[in-house]
Amino acid sequence: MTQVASLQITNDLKEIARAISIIEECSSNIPLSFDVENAIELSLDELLTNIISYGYNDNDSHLITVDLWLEGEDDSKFVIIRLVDDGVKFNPLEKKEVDLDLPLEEKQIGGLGIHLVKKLMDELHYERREDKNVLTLKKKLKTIKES
Amino acid sequence: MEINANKRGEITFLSLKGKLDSVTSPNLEDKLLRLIDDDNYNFIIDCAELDYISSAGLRVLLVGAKKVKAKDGKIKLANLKRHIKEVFEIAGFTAIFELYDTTEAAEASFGS
Repeated sequence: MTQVASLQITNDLKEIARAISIIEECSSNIPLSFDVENAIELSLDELLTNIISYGYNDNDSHLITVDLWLEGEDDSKFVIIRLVDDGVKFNPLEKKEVDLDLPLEEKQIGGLGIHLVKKLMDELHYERREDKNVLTLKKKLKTIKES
Repeated sequence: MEINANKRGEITFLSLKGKLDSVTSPNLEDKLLRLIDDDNYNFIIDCAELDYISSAGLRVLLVGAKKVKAKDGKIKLANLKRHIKEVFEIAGFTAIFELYDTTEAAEASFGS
């Protein structure tokens, strides 16, 4: 496991851009494909937007930690991202699947962000640890042959 | 996010430049809803310079599409970059929005 980058943001939507800059820190260590970068950016954006918008019952300032590291070797490398927040218990994996086949009139946007994250990431893992939400995302890096 | 609008005949053209995320989407929502209030119901959104879309951006498009549909109008999109199109596909939005390779093709589709 190689720790590549770690940062903390406060619970303010404007801070999300700074959290996303963690990808740049990572890509200076290991070049990431455009698709991987986009998948990570979108996932961080969706998950942090959820945490900041719905995660807190008070008006206090809270810290959210974003860690990023690499695992695996050769043609089986993964980028791992871990989000830790002290907001209300929320397991995105328990959210009901969105119905994608609904006609326009009935189509709902709720849950779509989580749906995008599930599809864009290869693995998601949630645990509630010491009153904190710990969400771990795993994205496989494409080998040169595949890309 | 830069949004430009102009009208040709019955069609209102919007071009988007930059990122459509939770911070910038309210700008597009304001603009789109104002145009709909001013009796514009047929839109072509040129996404040639749209670099990023999140569910916040998708939500605005959905809100707009529902509103214009009530007036028999449509929002059609053109020139989506490959990774933006992928987000549309994953979200199931390709079934509710017509996507075209060029704004000309989108315009021609309104005529038929």
